[in-house]
Amino acid sequence: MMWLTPLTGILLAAATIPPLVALYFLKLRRVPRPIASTLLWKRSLEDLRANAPFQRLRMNILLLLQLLVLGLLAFALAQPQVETGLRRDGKTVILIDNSASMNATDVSENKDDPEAKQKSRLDLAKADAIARVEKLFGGSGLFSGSAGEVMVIAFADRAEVRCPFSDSRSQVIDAIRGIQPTDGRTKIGEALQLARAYTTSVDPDKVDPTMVEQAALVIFSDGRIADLAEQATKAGEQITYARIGTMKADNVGVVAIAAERSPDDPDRIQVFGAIGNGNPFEIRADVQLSVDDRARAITPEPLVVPAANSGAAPEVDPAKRMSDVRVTPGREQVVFLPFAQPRDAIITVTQLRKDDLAVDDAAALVVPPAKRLRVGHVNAAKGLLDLLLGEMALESYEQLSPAEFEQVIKDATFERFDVFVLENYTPSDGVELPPGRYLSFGGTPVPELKSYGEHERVFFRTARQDHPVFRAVNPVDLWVASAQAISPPRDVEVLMEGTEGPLMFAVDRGGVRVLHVAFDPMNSNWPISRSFVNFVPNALEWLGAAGDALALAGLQPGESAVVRLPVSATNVTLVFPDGHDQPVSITTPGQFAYGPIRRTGIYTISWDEPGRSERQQRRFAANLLNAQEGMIVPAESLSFADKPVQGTATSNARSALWPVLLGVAMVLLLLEWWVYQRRTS
Amino acid sequence: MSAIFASNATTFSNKPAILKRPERVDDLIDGRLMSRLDQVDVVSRKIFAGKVQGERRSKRRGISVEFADYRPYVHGDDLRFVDWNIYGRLDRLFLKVFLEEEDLSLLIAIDASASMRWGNPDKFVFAQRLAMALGYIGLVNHNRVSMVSFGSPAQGGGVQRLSNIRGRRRTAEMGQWILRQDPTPDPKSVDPTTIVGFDDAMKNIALARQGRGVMIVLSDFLFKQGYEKGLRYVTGGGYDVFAMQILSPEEIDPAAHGVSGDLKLVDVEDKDVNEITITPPLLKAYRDRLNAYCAKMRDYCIRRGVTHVLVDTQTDMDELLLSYLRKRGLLR
Repeated sequence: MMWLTPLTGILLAAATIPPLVALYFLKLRRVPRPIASTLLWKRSLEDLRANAPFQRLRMNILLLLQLLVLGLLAFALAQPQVETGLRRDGKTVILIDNSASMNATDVSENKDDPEAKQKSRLDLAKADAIARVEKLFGGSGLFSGSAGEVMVIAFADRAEVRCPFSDSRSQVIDAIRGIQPTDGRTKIGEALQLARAYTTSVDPDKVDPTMVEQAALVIFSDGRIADLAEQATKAGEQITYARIGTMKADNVGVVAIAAERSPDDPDRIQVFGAIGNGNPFEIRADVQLSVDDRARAITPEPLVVPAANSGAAPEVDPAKRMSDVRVTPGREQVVFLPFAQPRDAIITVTQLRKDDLAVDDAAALVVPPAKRLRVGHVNAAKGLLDLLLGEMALESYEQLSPAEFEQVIKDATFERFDVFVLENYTPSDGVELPPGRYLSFGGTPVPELKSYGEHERVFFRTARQDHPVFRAVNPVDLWVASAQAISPPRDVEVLMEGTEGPLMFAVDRGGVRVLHVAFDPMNSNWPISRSFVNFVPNALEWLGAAGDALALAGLQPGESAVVRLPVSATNVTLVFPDGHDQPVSITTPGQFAYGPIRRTGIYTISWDEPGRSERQQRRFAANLLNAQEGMIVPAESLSFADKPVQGTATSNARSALWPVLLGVAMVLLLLEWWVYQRRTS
Repeated sequence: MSAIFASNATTFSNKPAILKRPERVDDLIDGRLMSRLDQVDVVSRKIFAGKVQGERRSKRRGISVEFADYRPYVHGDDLRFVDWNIYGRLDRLFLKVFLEEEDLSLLIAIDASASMRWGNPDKFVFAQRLAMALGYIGLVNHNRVSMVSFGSPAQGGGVQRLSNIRGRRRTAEMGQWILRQDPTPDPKSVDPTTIVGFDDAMKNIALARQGRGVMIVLSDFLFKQGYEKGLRYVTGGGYDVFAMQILSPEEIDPAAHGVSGDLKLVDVEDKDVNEITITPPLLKAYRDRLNAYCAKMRDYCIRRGVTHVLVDTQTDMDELLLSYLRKRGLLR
């Protein structure tokens, strides 16, 4: 219970209730009337009292009614607020979830309500948050009071302080109104950190210098928060979870998409997809494949996607089951027949069933044109690698000595190669690898990978099996006689580790992408294993597609887009899925970086290149492709690592308590008048 | 109207109430009523011994014309009553015994306490008129009429008497005596502690009893100390008692006679104050209590051989005397 103007209420109560009671203490002015004998009256009164246990109460029903009326008036003037978890004084942090699932349009239980269809959960959350802020500030007009400070944080995969602690009502409300929807995943950790950072102040004069001013956190979310189990509440922290969305939310989405050109016939593309079902029941959905926005294929029969599985007993109420965060969505794969598409294309997989969340109903990929790689082999030793590269289906294969390679660097003609294979190559003094893609065995291609010694007799320990270079590669039998001992910096990705230390690294710096193997294959038993034969093409393909990797893999909202551009590219512009464009300045030559990506869709980068009259462009897609985010049934409670916070359903229509109290008081006043009339008539 | 009043109805018509206080004997009883009452006599259910020869059959054997029995002659018997025919046949002396006819003692006790000076019509005025009529009936039938009033504040609260008057010519004397009785409360002249209560008055009457007869008590019987003890004094065998309970319409149905609102009820006798707010539940409780009170008194009276008659002061006197009391066996 919260009071906006308690003093007014107390004053009214103090000024009116004691006098009223005092008036009742004064004797009623009764008409004296002589009577023959009070014998019967006295006994009647005794009878009445004996028969009615509440006689005293009933005798004073007028007093009771008047006291009630006054009490209600005082209560109303104090403007009670019944919002739990809302604190008026002190600090309040409003955290609004603007992740993808908050774009769902299930704000009303009434699915046929056309107005409700227009609104998303985020709209509802913003309206609720504004209503809450209004209440914190005591509404507008006559009864408004001062509130504590309010801070607004929007969170999806990243948290953003929309408004630091402020006691300005309009500033806070504007900040809430300004929150834009994103298609990101929901992560609350950063938001909590921000909120806590702002509520912690350091006073150096105190013995215990850290002072934490406990703030009330109000979370407007559907509760589908990925990192919730990693977060713990702090002692004294008051968290309120305003649950947004209905338990009847219905969503089916595309959770995976892949397109692949056949190595044998690069003109043909095969498209794979997966449909995720977030509902507690089996659904049937038509899935459509479009190429450059033209429908190319549709599943001949609706795809049957099993119900989401909670692992719970079947008798559990489906709505409750779905509110459990651990539910795994139902999933079904769909494979389209390969089709000829030599040019680049935007491949879109769409599920056609109507549901509450549109953002995951389609996923797109930009497939680059069919092409083969041009490979330069530096410092090639006659051996298996040489043999392997020579046999691969490449556009061109050229062997270069280190001096020739450095000449190519000097002449800036390195763009005729897609990938360089460096064998035991360390650049000469003053020579630096230009932006490009390199597969390196031994040597020190970049300074970060400088070795501090050698490891002898190293066995394979682990590898990043999910990495594309390890597709169909299982180097479990690998044994290395002598490997470089490298202690990589943090930003260097270790792809394979041996018993003594890391054996394979991926470096991605300033347009230079290096896949470095820390040993000479000829010093190991790897060349005689099949995994090596698969590894080399995998590595070349991964490196070669680096410019197009984005196009092939696509991005997820929240990630940053890093695209390789020609070094000479100028006037770079990024066109967003909604059509608006934004000039982008290139800080690193040959590399375009923009992030984080907020919305899904097709992004287009265009640039001018000297010698070419028309603008060049490259596209990439951002897709949600997140099954958990597609589970849009709101969670009933926020299960923090230490304790759950129960959710309270919110709705748009909420009003202050005082009009109700006034209404009741008036009804009581009428009742009092009626009782009085009945008595006196 | 409550159940007991419905069953034991004493209100016979809705004639206008008599408001005027009697100042002369004629106000108590008019000639027309007197002429009608000439035909009526007081009945006793018991046969009592009278004092002088009268018109009433007595327990005693005496000299009336009604033969009763024979008995053997003993010395000293009046030879006039010897049955000489029997002597002739049997040669023994037998005395004829006749029933004695004697007068009836009629005692009318009037409650003159302050509570009787209340109601519209006034309970005491009603009691005065009723006493006058009953007394008149007694006088014209050669009964020995005595009157007692008790509790009158105007007369010091004690017991007032008018003893043993007989004959029609004493009517005026009786009327004057009745007129002198005044229950009007006078706080200056009366010390409340000297007012004789019902119990003491009845005890007084019982102790001063001369002979036997019919006793009629006119009162509202609303005594806080109870009426049982008082009635017990007079029902010991000496009197055939009629308890006439006189209540005013305001007492019988307060709601219908303007009792409403927030009131401070002041008892006219002991000044006891009762603050009440008239509500339907209270009125119902009052009616229930009154019914219960009257029913209890009637039961008590039946057990003690007393005839209980409940009278509303709105009752028409002619009908009460000539019809109702005849039916109830007081008059014939």
